[in-house]
Amino acid sequence: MTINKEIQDKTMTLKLAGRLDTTTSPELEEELKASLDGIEDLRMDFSELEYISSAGLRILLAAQKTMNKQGTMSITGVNDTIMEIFEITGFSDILTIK
Amino acid sequence: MGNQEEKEKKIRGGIIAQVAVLFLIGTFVIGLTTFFFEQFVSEGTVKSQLSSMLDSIAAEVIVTVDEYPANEWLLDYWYENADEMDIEYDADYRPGTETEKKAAQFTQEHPDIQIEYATTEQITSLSAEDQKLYAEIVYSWLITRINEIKRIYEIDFLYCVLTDDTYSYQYFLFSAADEGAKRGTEFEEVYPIGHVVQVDSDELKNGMRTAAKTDGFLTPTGKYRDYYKYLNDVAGQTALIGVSYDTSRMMDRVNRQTVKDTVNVVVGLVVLAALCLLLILVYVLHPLRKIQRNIRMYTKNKDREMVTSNLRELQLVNEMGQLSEDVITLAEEIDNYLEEIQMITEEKQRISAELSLASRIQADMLPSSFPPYPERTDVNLYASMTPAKEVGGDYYDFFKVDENHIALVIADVSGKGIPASLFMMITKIMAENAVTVDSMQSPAMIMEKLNEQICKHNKEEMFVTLWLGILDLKTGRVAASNAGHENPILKQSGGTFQVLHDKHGFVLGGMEGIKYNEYEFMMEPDSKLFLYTDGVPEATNENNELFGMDRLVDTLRDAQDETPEGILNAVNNAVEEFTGDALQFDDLTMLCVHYVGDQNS
Repeated sequence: MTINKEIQDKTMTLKLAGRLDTTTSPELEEELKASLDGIEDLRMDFSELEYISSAGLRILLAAQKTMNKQGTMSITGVNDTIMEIFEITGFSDILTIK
Repeated sequence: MGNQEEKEKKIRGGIIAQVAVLFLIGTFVIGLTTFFFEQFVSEGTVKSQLSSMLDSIAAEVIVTVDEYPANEWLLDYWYENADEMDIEYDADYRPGTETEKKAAQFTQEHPDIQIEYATTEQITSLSAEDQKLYAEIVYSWLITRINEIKRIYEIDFLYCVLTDDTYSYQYFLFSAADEGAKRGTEFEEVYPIGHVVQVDSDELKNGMRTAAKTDGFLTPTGKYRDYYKYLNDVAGQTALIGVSYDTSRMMDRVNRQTVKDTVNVVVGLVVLAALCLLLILVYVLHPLRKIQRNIRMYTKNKDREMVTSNLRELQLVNEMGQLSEDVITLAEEIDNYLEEIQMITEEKQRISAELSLASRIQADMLPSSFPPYPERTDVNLYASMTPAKEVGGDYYDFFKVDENHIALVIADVSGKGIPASLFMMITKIMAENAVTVDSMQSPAMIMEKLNEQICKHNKEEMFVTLWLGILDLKTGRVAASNAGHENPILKQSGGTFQVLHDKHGFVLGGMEGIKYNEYEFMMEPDSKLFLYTDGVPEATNENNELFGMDRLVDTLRDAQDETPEGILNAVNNAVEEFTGDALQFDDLTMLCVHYVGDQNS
């Protein structure tokens, strides 16, 4: 998995590519832990993300909880496979998917 | 061990042999060089020594002749009266020789004349007969004296020749003889007075000319090297002293010298080499063998203390001492490493034992005797859990809520392994409690309560997807709620398996205060409900393809008339066949309920 990060003022855009699973999610967790401070708008681009496992969902949930306190978080470019996972797990109810 | 023997064989010979071979080759090369160099040098040395030796011999002969005050008269007389003279050759001071008698007679007749010191005036005043006597005596004495010189210097020929300025002949006036060189007129014999030899060789002519005009000259070639030195003029001719030396004898001297020097050098080198080898043996090889023995001993029995004390006792100096210290350090490192490995292994074994125990405990937590209600004819069910690791985060559960209600649970904790399994155990207990505490609750209320409880003790932000259904055995009515779990698959009586797209709520433990939906559906008599975790549709083969919902539904349909156990086996087989040799990545958990219904109604 690769993570492409762009920070502009208080907006951070993370572009993920590949698979977000047990082995790769710690990488995203570190990234978020390191740079989420002071961010008020977190945008995640999933257009090149192929798959997300429960470990990845856990990271998204933590990010969402953090952003609930300090701003907003939105996800774009979600493919069908990932959308189905979001729907089955109910994540589609708590995430802002555009 | 076989390997070690082979290694041993390979180095047969060892350092000493290798160095010895080097020394041997070096000695041979240096010996050979010395030989040729020496030969070259000593040839030159011997040649110049020879030249000056022959010169001094010739000079000695000249002095001997000059000592007779009447030497010029004598030389002329000998030449002019060679045929008339009665000469006794090689008398060599023997008592009673003709010459002694002649000398005694002469002294008696002319007591005033001492033969050795007679002057030309004294001699020329004598009678012709006495002059002849005197010339014969002195000639014999001279021969005796040069014979002596020849013997002392071990030369081949010593003689006096006359020649003219054409240098084309040699007239022999006197010459030395001994045991090695007899009187005679053949080649290599000592010629008597008056013998003439023709000179054809230009080299010889040149030699004589040089000697006559300037100084002594050594002919450069030939078997005999001739040295000539000017003596006097005799009857209009030139008298030269000739000394001949056999070159083969000269070369013998050269070779003897060369061999002697070469042998000295070679012996010196061999002694030096032997000394070096001895030093290598004492300072290198011997300690090396000791270190080697100790290394092998350590390899065999890992007794570091023994090896350390052995090596320290040797008290090795130089690099060998460093090497032995290094070996001791290495042994220490190996010991530490082994200890560490042993600790890690023990730790691993302990964890492995604990894990397998944990795995059994986890399995024992789930209802596992099938059929679970052998006394009931209206319902049958079967379930299985296959964790990807020793312990898993999936689980199934079923239990009676009251006489007519069975609760069905299938759940999947995020993540895998020990953390997931711990979370799963808590969830299982909480879920069962939440259901059984009040049989009248609705599934949505149970879910909400369960979510609050899980959130309360969830700092690690784990979550669990869970499907809960309560089956009324009398009516076949199922009241269910889905917290983010996979869709159940239902086969109604007479129909086929269909995915039930139910209403999904959010996962449990994810967020506090979530509201859950619930829904109902009817299971007709002889209908089947299949519940599963995502490990089933997401089972992956070697090409990274997912098993998928379509294959799952197809498999279920193919086996739809089987018992719950048969259906689970069919799915298991299909998944196994699909994944082949690929590692099972996710937990695989399934539950199948066959609602037979009241057969009497």
